[in-house]
Amino acid sequence: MHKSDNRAFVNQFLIYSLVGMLCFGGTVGMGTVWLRHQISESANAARLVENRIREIERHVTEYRAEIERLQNPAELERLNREWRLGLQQATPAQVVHIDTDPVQTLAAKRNRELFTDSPAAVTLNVAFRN
Amino acid sequence: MSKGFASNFRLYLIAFLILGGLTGIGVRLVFLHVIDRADLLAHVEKTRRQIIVDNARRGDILDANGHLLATSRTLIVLGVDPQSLRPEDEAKWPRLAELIGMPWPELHRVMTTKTRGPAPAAAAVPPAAAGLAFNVMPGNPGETTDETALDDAPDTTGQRPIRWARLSEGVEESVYDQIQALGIRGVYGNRTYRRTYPHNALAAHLVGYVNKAGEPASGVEAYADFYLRGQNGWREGERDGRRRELAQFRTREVRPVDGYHVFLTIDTVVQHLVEAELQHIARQFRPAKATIIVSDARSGFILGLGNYPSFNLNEFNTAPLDVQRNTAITDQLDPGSTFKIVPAAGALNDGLVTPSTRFDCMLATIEYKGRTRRFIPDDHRYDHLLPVSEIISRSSNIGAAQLGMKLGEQRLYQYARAFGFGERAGFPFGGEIPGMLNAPEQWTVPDITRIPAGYSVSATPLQIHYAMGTIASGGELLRPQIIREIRDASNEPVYRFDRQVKRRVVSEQTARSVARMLQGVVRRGEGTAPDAAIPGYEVAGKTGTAQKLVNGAYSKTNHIGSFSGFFPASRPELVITVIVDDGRVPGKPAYGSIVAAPSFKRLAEQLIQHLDIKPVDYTAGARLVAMEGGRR
Repeated sequence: MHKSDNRAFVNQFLIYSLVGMLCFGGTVGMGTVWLRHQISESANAARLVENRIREIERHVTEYRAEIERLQNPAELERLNREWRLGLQQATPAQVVHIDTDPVQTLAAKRNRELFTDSPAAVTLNVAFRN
Repeated sequence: MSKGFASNFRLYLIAFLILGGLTGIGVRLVFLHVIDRADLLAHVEKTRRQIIVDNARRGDILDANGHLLATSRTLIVLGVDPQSLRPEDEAKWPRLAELIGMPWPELHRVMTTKTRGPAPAAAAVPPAAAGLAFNVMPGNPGETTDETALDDAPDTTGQRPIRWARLSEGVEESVYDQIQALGIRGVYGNRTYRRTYPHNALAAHLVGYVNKAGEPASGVEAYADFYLRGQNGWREGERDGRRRELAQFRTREVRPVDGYHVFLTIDTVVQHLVEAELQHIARQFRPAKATIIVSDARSGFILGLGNYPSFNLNEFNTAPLDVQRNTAITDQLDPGSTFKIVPAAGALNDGLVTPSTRFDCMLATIEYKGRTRRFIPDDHRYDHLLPVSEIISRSSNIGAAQLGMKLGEQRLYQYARAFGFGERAGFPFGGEIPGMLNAPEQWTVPDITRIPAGYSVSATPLQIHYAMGTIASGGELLRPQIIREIRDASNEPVYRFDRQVKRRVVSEQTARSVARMLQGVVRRGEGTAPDAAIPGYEVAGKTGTAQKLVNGAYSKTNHIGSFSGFFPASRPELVITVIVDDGRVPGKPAYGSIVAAPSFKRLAEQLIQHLDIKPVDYTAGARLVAMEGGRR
């Protein structure tokens, strides 16, 4: 080796530069590969999340349809018969229509009971139909 | 040359090796990019590139309160790629057959059939010649595309390797999970949306259905398809050897746009009550057909419309086409006495009569325009001259004919047209017919006595309903509406339908007068339909009984009985029409008062509770009761 020789120095410099460039290029290459891998990982993770969201949406739709099927009036009537609940719709004769605000009426009734010794006999203007 | 630390020989050797290597790479690249380019590109495109179709979700159909009437759910179209099957998975095939309910020999045949014969000429284009051959992977290759679309190129004998053979058209998600757990390579499914109707037969004639091919066939499904169907999306990218999408190589992507939701005017509970009442009519009178229509008196929105017979939307393919017809708009019938509101309202509106104007309704004939006209006889004899109000409440054919004569042919015709007879009501779908109302020039001599009584004129049940609705709305003919609102996938309103008035027919005062007269129809001892009266509520209505035309002659045993009415009479909220075609009543004709009026009452009583309809003056005639703790 003739390290003091200028041309030898140039050769040595070229070799080191080449090695340096190879290392740099390799690092950049490896970095690029790693970056692409990370991109692919992220994209696939996003795809999985998307699929999961769609799956949940599918289940929500299915459950909603099932709830709706169970709330079908014909289905409720069937359950009423099957479980012998005896539920029946009220007829107009069973319903009393009040011509005043029911909240105020009930509050007035309650207040009268509070401020008297014995429960007040309350008479309200309500309609009764036979 | 150099006097450095490396010898010239070594340098030359390294240079030669590098140059040789680069030359080799260059030559290979020339082969790859130039000489074999077309074949390799086709192969890569075939195996890696793909376009995946993202199916848009069809919008839902809901009732006025947001209850689902039609929705889309996912099902899996299961298939197999016979080229990918492994011998070690064969032991799992019987379990697969059991899960999808396919006979074992059939499944074995599909799994072991590896090729199929030559494709039709149009499809037998080699991928290379066809340009870029993408694998188009729709949401459901088994349904929306030909099974052969994914086949490989044919070999020298013309046989094409099968890459997709359908195993099942509709596998539930839970079953598909079990199939996936089996781990059979080559068996995979594609999700697709299928229409389902949670309420089965409810509002079948209104909602309609989407057929197996995914085409909307009838009802709102077909009419509002533009809003419901949405826009499919797609994405272009690559897949790996296991057919999984490589998300990082997506190049273009168009997101699907889901369909809009359509909100109807009908109320599920009202519709159920209507259909339950139709079932009651069917059991009691065994009619050929029956129709009930309920609408909002103020807006004209249809709250419930049912026909008997009906069908289950989820099993539409088993229902005869005749049953699938919405007879409320496709069939016409003689309206009978329900038509009498037309001459009465017309004569009142033109100031020709007042409610107290009296007519002799015991006549058999009358002179009109120089000719003797014979009346359709009444069922009852009267001991006094009938005022117009009694002509209506007692449903006198003779009185109605005289009201028609007061108006004259032209005005009677004009009023009938104004009430909506002889023209389509404007129901948005389902093949509505206009009915039949001839122009006066085509009338025969007896028509002036027959038409006012509801004969020689034909109408659909919907026309009869909206004619009565004209009186209920204060004299305006409203357009029947079934769609209330359109909302997008995020539930934001897109369009809202409002009350639409077709025309004013009679003045508000005339409508009120007719409504008062119609109250007499349900009055016991006075009217024809006391069974339609609801205690505490003012009910106005009109019965109708028309003889059916059988073999060209009016039958004495086959009748169409109807009742059309509204309540409360002085502040109408609901209009209800019940029509029973050819009901069977032992020992007597199927009059509207017998087959239809009681149904009107039963239905109205239930609707009063559901819709919280209060009597107009609910304190009048009431006795006071004490309320204790909120209970009577």
